[in-house]
Amino acid sequence: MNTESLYDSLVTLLRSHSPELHDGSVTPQPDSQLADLGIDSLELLSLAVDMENEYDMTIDDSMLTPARTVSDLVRAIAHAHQQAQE
Amino acid sequence: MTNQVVITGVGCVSPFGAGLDALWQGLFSGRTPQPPTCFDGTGFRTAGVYEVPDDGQDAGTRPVRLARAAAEQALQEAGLTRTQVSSAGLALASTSAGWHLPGQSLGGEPVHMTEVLRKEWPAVVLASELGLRGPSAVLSSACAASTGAVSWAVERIRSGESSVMLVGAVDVITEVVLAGFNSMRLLTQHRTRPFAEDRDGFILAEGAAFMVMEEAGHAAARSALARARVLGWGASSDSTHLTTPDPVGIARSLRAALADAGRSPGQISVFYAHGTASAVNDRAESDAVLDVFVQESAPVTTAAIKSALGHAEGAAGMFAIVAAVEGLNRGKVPPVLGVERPDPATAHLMLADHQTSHPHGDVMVHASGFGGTNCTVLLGPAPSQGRDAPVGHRVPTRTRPPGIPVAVAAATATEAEAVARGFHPEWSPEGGPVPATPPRSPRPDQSCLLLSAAVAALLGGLPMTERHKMLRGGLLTGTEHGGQRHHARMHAGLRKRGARGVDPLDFALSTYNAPAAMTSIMLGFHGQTEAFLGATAGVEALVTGAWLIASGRVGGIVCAGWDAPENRLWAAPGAPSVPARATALALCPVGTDWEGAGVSLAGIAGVRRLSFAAHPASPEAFEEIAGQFNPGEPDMLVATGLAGQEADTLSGAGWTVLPPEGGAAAPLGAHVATIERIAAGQARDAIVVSTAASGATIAVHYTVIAAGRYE
Repeated sequence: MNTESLYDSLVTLLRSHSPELHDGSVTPQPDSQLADLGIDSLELLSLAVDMENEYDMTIDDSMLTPARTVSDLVRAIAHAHQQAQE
Repeated sequence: MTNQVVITGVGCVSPFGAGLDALWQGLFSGRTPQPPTCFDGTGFRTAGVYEVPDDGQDAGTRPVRLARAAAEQALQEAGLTRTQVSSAGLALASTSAGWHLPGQSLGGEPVHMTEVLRKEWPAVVLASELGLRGPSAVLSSACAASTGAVSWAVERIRSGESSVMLVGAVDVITEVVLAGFNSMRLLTQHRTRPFAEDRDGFILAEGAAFMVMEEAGHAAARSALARARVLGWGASSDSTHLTTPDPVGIARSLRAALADAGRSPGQISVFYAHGTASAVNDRAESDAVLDVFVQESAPVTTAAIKSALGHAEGAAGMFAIVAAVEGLNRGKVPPVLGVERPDPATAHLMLADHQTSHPHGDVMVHASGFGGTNCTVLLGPAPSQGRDAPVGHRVPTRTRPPGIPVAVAAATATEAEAVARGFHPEWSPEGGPVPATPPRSPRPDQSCLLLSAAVAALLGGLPMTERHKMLRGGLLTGTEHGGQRHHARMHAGLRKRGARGVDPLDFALSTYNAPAAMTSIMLGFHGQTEAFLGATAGVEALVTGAWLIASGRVGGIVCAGWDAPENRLWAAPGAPSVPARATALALCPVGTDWEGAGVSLAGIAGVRRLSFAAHPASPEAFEEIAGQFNPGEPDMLVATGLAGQEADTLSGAGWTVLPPEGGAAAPLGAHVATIERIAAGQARDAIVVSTAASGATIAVHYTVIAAGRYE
């Protein structure tokens, strides 16, 4: 999966977890704060389950816990992908 | 002045084996996590679990076997005669044991004995086998269930309802629960290391722990050896988030316990922490201790037994209490194992090591649970060992004068609407519901919405001062079926996708106290929240609240019953349907300035409880329990929970028997209807008795209160 399609699919997942994005009228940006999207610590864990299933990978706690922005989630996915290949 | 409570017997079955010696030694040695034996542990982010060594018998009856073994140890140590045991009450705490047993399918396979799949079942069996006739309840406020059960039992002794209470907790490791904690990333891949800088979660454990609590004079009269005293308890709701603990809420619980026991922070020698080794929990708990103990210059000696035992869910608090009792008697504090680098942010907690002797003083045991529920228990050395009052001395524990509990408002919420009625002299029918602010995550489910709607409606009509008393006093709830829909969803996810198939939002909403917690968040309850289980659990919430008012502990409290049909996964043949409904009542003492207000209210003049039983009480039992109030000929006799010929028998004897209905809201509805008739001047007194299969039987005597006094 290339970066662009990965980002698109991540946005789809974000919409299902974010009240702010749910109706599709707003598109999250890489620097969008997860808190501003209504994704708190518990919702982030729920999102992580969907991400692991969507991309069939295991996301490390060390990448997920500090995640604050959409970019952080992209990095967590990239890290998990790299870990899986090693 | 109130009765003093002592502990005269303790027992447990832990991952270290049966008995106190095995537990105590294990707390110093720890053990290596192992893969679960009851299910496939593949795919979970954890080093393993701590199971109780299995006896190879049927997994379905495991909670009962563990509870029975621990209870028998406690009773044996207490040395009670069979007659003395039969007068005892029972308080059982559990988060998971019961309905989702190891190997049991959820909704997929036919279940032949649905009673076994209830959290109340171990209580039903123990009450039957031991012949217990005292007050009984099953409490399930997540991982604070144990300290909640102890607190409830303390009040039964303080009130004089029972001189002896058997109090215990049992929880077993199940696939669904492990998957829930796994989804929340709360499990460690190493060891449980509370307050370590590199802590990363806990090992899930299981077991049962019980103790015999006794009125001190009763214990002294039979020359029983008191092992420790229960000095007091406190409870609070964080009122902030379902799964992120709040130091302010925890501190409120710690302070409430100190106040109840009449102790200052300086008198506490050891703090037994909840200590789950999650980054957020340990920090919040530590911050709370720092806040409460801020005036103390010395660090607080701290034990955190999950470092050795793991996290036994609802039983965790009872294991901590058992360890604290052992520590007081052995003069030692169990060490916090595996912490090479303590977290500098929690440095004011002096973690016990293998050489830590027990300092002189009292002990604080704290537990927190999902929902932001907190409950703290204070223990002291046995009277003969300590400096305090002799056994049997009655100590003041309440600051408010006793008051007659009266119902000042009631409300029922269905899927369609919430309707409130008020009896308070300043009730405002135009008040409308108070604003409720639901959290963004997780969104409240139907049970949460029903309960919060009912409570918001009754609060809205009350004057502001009474409303604030309710929010400070707390929210006690009862449910028969809890949030089992979420467990079923978790189980379905597990079957479909393995460990990755479980949504942590379901887990957060699955605890039986979740609607109470959600309502506390939405409406701002800072006081105690509690969840009782069983079809009559809403009535238990009511009578528990009534005593807290009568004893002067709180100035107002809301008591409720709720259930929703999607949470009943199995039903016995012919069982009545479960409506989506929540019914709530607001209680407070009679106002001193209500004289001449020209209102009539229903006051709770008396309460009687029969123990948990597999079957509903008989018509004869109804007559007997009603006769114990000795009110002459009450204007109303109301019964719930009976059907068929037994209902006809009672009807023939002059009782109003309400048609059977499932869930914990319906019995409370009968109380509301009775209260309304008394308030409307249609009756001067009434007795309402509620019974249920696998539940307690509870009778309440109402008397009209007019112009601020008994007529």
